[in-house]
Amino acid sequence: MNKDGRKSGEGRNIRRINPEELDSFSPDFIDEDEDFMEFDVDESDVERARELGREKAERMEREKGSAGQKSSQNGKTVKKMSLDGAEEDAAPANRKRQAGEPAGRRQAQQTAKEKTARKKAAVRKTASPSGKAVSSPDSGDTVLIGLMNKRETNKEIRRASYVMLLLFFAVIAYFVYFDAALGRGIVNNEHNSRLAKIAESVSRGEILSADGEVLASTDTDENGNPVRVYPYGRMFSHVIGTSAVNKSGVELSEDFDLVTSTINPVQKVINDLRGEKDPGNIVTTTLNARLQEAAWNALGDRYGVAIAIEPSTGKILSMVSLPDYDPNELPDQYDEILADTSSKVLLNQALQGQFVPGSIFKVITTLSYLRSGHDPDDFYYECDGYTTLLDDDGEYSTLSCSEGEIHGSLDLIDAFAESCNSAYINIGASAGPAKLRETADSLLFNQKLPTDLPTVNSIFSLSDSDSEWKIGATSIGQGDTVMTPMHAAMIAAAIANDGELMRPYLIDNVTSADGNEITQNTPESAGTLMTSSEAGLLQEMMEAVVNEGTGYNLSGRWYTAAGKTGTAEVEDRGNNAWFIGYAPAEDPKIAVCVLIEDAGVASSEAVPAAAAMMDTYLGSLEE
Amino acid sequence: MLSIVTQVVKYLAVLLIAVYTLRCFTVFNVKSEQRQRKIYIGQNVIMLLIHLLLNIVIIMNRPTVMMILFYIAQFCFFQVALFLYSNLYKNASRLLINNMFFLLMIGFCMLTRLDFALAVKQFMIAVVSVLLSLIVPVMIDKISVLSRLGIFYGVLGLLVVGSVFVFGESVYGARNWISIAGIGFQPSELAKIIFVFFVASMLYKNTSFQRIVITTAAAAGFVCILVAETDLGAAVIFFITYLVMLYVATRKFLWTGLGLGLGAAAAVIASRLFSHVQRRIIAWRDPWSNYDDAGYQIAQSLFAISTGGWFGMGLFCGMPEMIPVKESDFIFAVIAEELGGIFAICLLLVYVSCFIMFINISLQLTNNFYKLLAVGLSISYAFQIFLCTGGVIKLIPHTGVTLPLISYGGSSILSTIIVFAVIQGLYLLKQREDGLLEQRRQEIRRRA
Repeated sequence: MNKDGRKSGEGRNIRRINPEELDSFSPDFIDEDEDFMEFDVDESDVERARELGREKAERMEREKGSAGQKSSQNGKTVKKMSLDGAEEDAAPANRKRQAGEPAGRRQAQQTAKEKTARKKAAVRKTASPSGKAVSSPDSGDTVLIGLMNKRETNKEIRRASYVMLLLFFAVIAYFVYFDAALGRGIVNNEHNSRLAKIAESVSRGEILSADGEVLASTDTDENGNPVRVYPYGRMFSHVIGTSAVNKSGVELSEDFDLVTSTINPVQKVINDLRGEKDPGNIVTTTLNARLQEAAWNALGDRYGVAIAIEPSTGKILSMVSLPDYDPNELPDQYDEILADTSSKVLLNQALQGQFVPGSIFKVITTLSYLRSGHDPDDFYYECDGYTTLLDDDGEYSTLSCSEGEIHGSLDLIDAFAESCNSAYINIGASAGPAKLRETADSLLFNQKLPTDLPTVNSIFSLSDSDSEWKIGATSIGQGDTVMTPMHAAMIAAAIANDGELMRPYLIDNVTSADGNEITQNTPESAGTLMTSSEAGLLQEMMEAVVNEGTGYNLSGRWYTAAGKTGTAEVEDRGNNAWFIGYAPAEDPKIAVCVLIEDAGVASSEAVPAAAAMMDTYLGSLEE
Repeated sequence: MLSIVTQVVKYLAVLLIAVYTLRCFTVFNVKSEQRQRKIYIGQNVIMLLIHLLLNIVIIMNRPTVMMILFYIAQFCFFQVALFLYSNLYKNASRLLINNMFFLLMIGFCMLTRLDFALAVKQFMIAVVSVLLSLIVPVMIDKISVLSRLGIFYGVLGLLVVGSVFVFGESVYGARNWISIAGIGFQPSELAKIIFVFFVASMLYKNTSFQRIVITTAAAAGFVCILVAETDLGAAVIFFITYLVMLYVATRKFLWTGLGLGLGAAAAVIASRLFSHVQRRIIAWRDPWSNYDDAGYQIAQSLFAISTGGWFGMGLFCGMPEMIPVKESDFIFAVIAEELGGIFAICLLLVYVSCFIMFINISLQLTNNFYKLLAVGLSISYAFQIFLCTGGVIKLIPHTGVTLPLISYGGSSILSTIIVFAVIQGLYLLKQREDGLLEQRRQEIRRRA
């Protein structure tokens, strides 16, 4: 900037830089990044100016001829550039400061800076003949130096402002991402009181089943107040949920859509003028009303869970959790239910119940056996009906087969089909705790399940230092392992789908009340839980369970089913009777998970319920 | 009827602001000055239209004479101010003038919707600030001593930030307010400008090690006082502004890199030591599980933004009263809730457009003092917007800084208007340089 003005003012022996000489200048010259240039003003500037003066004289000689044709182009650039004359204000200040500086330091700096100046001059000299630097006869050092100085810090300014712009765009990008993706999850948060306000002008939309049944709708009572009506009563209580109190289920997850009206704006104006509420959007679920009814009836008055998933898409076809409540009556009973802290009535156990899995865990034990490098064909075991193992206290304890049965000689398929505990304790031991843990984690234990539904995690823990007994118990699904029924259903669906898990979902589409589509959900893969050959072996084993093992109650139907039973012992009460499976075996349309609490054995309790679900659903498909 | 008007206005406002924002950027492609002027006048029309539309909804919801009078007062103010600015300073950046008044306008509308009394207060302060600011460009242009007052700025700035220890009041857990004649005042807002002047005049021509050490020590003093006042947002802004100015002045990344490293270390230590820092980090990482406590504010902000969606709920149709500090730190969430995400993003782009104009002048100037000054003001302005909006949408922890020109707060408004005026002064300076240049060239031609 003002270096030259000042220096000349101090009477240094460089040519006085005359602003009047400024006329034009070639921008190429300055576009080079001049890292070696000094920002601070000192002797080097004198040196530099001198060098440039000399250099310029040479150049002027050389370029006199070409000046004419350049001038028009230069005219444009100059306008943007500046003038040393304008710096005169600041020059005196600089001079004073400079004079006040200790001379010693200046001298010390001088040597180094002279070097820089020389280096720079050298660069200049080499640059000029290349034809890059061209100036007209009228240009002076002022222009060069003034412009160089001006440009000096621009590189840094640019860099800093690019970073700043980047931050701005990060905010904008995050905002867009938030509105497009994250917002939907947040808007339906139970704490968001804004939806209640929107609901004042909208009549809450209907919820439908996939087969067109109305699962929830809005009526007006005798006083003209809106009332939410659930035609199926208890049957869909947990999965659809309620909106008036204890907002949950679809009523919670789709709250925003249900109280939003996307009907034609003209109709909105008409409604507004008439003082009528706009009809909310219609949410269509993936649920099959007939299947839900069959599942609910199959569980009867026992506590338990029945889930059905379409393996190829992840659509949830039914979800029953007992105990349940009548959503039409819930507002009146709510306080009473809340008062009973031990009540599970409001808990959707399908998603949030954690249960000891028992023998259905043998699916995971089998996989870890395969994954630890064992050949399934080589497996052979002689079952004596029990196994004795060292327990946590260092004493020998016995784990026996179900009902004390002695299975005799078994290959892997037999052991699975008969659900032989002794054999599976052996299988688990050969896989080892590390492999069991690894396999359990790869099958979604100890993590959020890949679904938008509010599930809790299934828990598996086993360490290398655990006792033989503990490892054995864990291998047969006892031990400390707990699973959510949804998780079990997802594993069954993945096996049926040759190893690929489809993300379970409950909402098929949302349309406006006048029928325009707003959102349409499509199946999404949640990754591969096992290879297709692993899935193939498990399919074979699960078919054997139905054909010749513990699932015999499902055999002899017009379709072939496959599955695995589990009878888990629970302290101080009856067993957990489990069944996971799918049908038809050759082209699975439905995967199920049935859990009945406080029950006897799975084969006579859970399997018939699964059979009822499969019969109903596959029957309805054939109609 | 009201709801139809609200909904129509909502969409129109989004449309108009989109056009306005587009103009902020496309104007650069227009070469002819006459056409540029046309665009600027077009922007003024859009501004006043948005202002009118929003006020129609406001007046329909709060049909009082005061509301109508207030609208008329605002309208006159904008007319007069636009007229004054563009005629007193023919060479000032018209785009910056437009943007400044546009942002003020949006601020008035949102504050009127939230709290009429606050809006009136804000309006008064803005009127006074704008009048005061009219002399700033001349001062920048004419007073040549500005670059020589380094130590003076430093002492003045430290006195200003330190004043809260003597007169201070604690608001929202931060002791960073003083009260002058009943009007709350945040000294750090004003100190920010003085600080930038200080650093610019210290470093614009001398970046010897000694100089850097002295300046850095003073800058550290500023930041430490602000941390002691628990005004974390301001401390971060001062810190970043200083590092960027140091980088531009020394042209070496070394110092700045070192500073960033130290800053990161200090942030980690601070987050361990101070519970109020911890709370903000907890709220940022997971507002939901701390909903009843630290996370409440940010959760409400996110509810507001997510419920608003792209087009907003419409004025008076949201529940901004649920958001704590809605009128200042969280006003961006209120805008997103009622006027919509697109509107909010456009506002951000208008801020970006101002930032580009700020940086533009610093690139064009030749005098290093003014260059540094422009960079410092640009960065402190831009970083404040980043902190505010990033905090509101939970991209970064919320630091409690205001949104310039929109948030309620006298000192915030005053200081931002001064920043804009200083930048306008620099544009005048630049124009004078160009004028001289042109003059000289003509002389040369005549001679030839």
